[in-house]
Amino acid sequence: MIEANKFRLGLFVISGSVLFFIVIFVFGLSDIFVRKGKFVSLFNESVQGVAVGSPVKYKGVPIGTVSKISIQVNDKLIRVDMDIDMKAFVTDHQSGAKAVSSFNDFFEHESKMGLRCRLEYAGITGLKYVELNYFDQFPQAPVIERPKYITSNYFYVPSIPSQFKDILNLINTSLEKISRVQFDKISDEMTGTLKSMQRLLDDPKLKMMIDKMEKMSDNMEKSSSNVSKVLTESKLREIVDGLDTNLKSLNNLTISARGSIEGAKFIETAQSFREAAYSVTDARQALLSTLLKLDQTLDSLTELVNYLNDDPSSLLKGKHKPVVIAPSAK
Amino acid sequence: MGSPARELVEKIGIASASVFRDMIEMVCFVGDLSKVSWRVLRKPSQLRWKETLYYMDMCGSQAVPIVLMICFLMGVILGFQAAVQMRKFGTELYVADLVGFSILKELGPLMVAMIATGRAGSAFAAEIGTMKVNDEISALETMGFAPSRFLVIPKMLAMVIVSPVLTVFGDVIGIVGGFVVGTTMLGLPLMAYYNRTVEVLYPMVFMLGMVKSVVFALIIAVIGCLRGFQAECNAQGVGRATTSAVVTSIFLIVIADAVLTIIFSLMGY
Amino acid sequence: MSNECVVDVKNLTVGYGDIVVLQNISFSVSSGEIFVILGGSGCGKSTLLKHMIGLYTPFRGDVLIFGESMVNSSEDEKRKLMRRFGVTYQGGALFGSLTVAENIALPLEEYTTKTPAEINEVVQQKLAVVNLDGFGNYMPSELSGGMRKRAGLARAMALDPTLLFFDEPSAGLDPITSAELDRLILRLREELGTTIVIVSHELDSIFTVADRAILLDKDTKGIAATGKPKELRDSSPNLWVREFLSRSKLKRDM
Repeated sequence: MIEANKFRLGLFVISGSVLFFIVIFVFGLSDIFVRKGKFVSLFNESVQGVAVGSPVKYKGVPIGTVSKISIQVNDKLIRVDMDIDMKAFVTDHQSGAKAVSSFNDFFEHESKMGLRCRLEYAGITGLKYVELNYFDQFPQAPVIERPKYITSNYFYVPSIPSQFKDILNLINTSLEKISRVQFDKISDEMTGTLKSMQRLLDDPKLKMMIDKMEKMSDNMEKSSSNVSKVLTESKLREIVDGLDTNLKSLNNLTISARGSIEGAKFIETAQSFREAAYSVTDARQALLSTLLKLDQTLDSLTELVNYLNDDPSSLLKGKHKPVVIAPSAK
Repeated sequence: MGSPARELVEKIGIASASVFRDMIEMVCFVGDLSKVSWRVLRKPSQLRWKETLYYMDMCGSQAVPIVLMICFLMGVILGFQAAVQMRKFGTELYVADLVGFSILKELGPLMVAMIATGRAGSAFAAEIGTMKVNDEISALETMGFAPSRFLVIPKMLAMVIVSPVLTVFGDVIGIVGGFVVGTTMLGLPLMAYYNRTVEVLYPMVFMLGMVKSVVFALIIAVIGCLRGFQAECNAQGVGRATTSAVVTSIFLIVIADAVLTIIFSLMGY
Repeated sequence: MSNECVVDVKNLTVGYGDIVVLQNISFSVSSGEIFVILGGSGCGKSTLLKHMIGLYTPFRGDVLIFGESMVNSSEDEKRKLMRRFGVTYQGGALFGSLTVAENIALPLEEYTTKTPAEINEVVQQKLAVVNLDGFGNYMPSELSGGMRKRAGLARAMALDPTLLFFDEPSAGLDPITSAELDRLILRLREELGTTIVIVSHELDSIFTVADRAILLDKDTKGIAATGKPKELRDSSPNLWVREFLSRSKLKRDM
């Protein structure tokens, strides 16, 4: 009754043991026979998401795993050790010392060419892997030079900040620059400029000048009508001579007018206004509208000055009249 | 006496006293057992090989079908539940991780322990309880034998040998269960699932599961036998002993599992 | 029959938990004697036996077997002492997982350096003594109650002990089987000179085999009478003792 079924028991023990060794072999002892290269890298950013066993990829090809993560106390860098399976690299020599040396040469060369490692997201789970690649297209952060404590039996691969950190950096610097813009001063300066503009426009001399010009043009009109009344050959010459002197004195007047207008430096002021406006991209609506009105005023002023510049005689002739007069003068 | 509150307090007192007594008895039993085990270890000829082999057969090879069945289904269920959740995130391949780790670390040893409790633990308690009713325990003693050498050591040894082997079966078939779900329901490529499993699992996880299964085996054998020895000398007593053996074993297994998990995680696994 | 004292019970007080069952019991059994412990149900005669053979520890007092203390010796000494006597239990208490022959061979295997062939020889001889020739390969569950008892006796005798304890040898047996067992007990004493202690309430057996008996009293928790059963029945000063022994006798005569 209390007799074991020896055959069944034997079968059980044997198959169990065989299975045991198969499992051990499949789950890891096979690793023992894999030739490994030891890589190490140093990060000065958080390695959140990377764990022992996280994959290491070379241009997307899984070539190994992270074997250890530690903190270097002396420089506060995070050291990530990686085991690289040499079998992932096909060389001319399939095995032996030659394969190892060609593997070494390959990475020596790669490292000189600027091979870098970077932490990348493996998915939405927040897990990361270590990517070995050339990252030329991204702004090169200062590379951590190989420290002395990393012995020569390790390959040192410098790290570069992860993409996420790049984005963070950009945002940070932009925010910093914005905070450096002195909005108070800009608005103070602008108020001052506007006031001086107002003063300029209110200047009685300018008014008087315009009044005088108006009077002059009235006189001109009168004299022109007189001209047509007493238009004789002899008198015409006299008149032309008189007109000549008149024109000369008008020229002088124009020059002095231009000088006084240029003294106001309308154009430069407008330019600086625009610049100020550009530097503040998110300017307030009120400021914008004020500037717009000011701009319009300036524009019309500039127009006026240009007009006078092109045709100084219009000061005498008025805006549209010369078109009427010129043919008759010929 | 009299007031219900007082009665309640008294009942709690009596209950805790009995629990305390039970614990003392357990410790004494383990102590006695250690002494006898040490003697057997020093003189292996004292071991009852025939009984040991019988219990290995009974608790081991005869339990293989049920272990395979339960653990396979465990893998399938686990894989299925994980798949439903992970599919939402497109992380189906992680089913391999989840099934592999859960089975190897927890469910493999635990399921085997539960089956062994039901099959072996209860049988041990019933057997020793019946022997006690029939004066066989007394007979052993008056023949000058330490009953635990005859009745406990072979069962304990058999369980300790057999339980890890059963766990290996359970682990493998459990992972196969997850594999079946992964390849049929999720349509994952056969090799992808296999590679993922092999990639993430390492031998230490497997070995820790083995350690757990040995501890569980000891608990089942010791508690089963202890409850048998404590059985009252009648048929109902044997029945109660059997029930108590199963309940106590499961309780202690869960506690041991928690403790071992904490220890292993402190060790860094 | 020498007067050497084989079992000596001194001021023994026994019980379960907090309940005292027997108080201050003292008696002794001489070598070659058939000694019977008598008593009604629940008077503690089985308890007394279990204390005598060392299964329980008494509250007070001592049990000396072959002059050695059963109570104050270490566990190892106790086990050694236990090997020197045999115990036959009510139901035989054969190990259900072993055959009858294996049951008998067990102490021989464990305690002697005999070869398997020699052990087998002893086993066959013991089986012959208890009239169970040819039943060696039976499982205990395949035997009748009387046969199991006899097999149990064979096992108890395996190491040729000079002292045998019987717990209710004739309980649950038909009169013929019971009488057979009584004859067997007497023959053992005659052939081997074995000292025999019997716990029983079967009066027919007692009158046949007992040299001396003690009668336990439930109420006084002590020994009510000591002496030859027949003499006690006929001339005990205690009325209860005479009634106990004769009422059953009357019943049997009816």
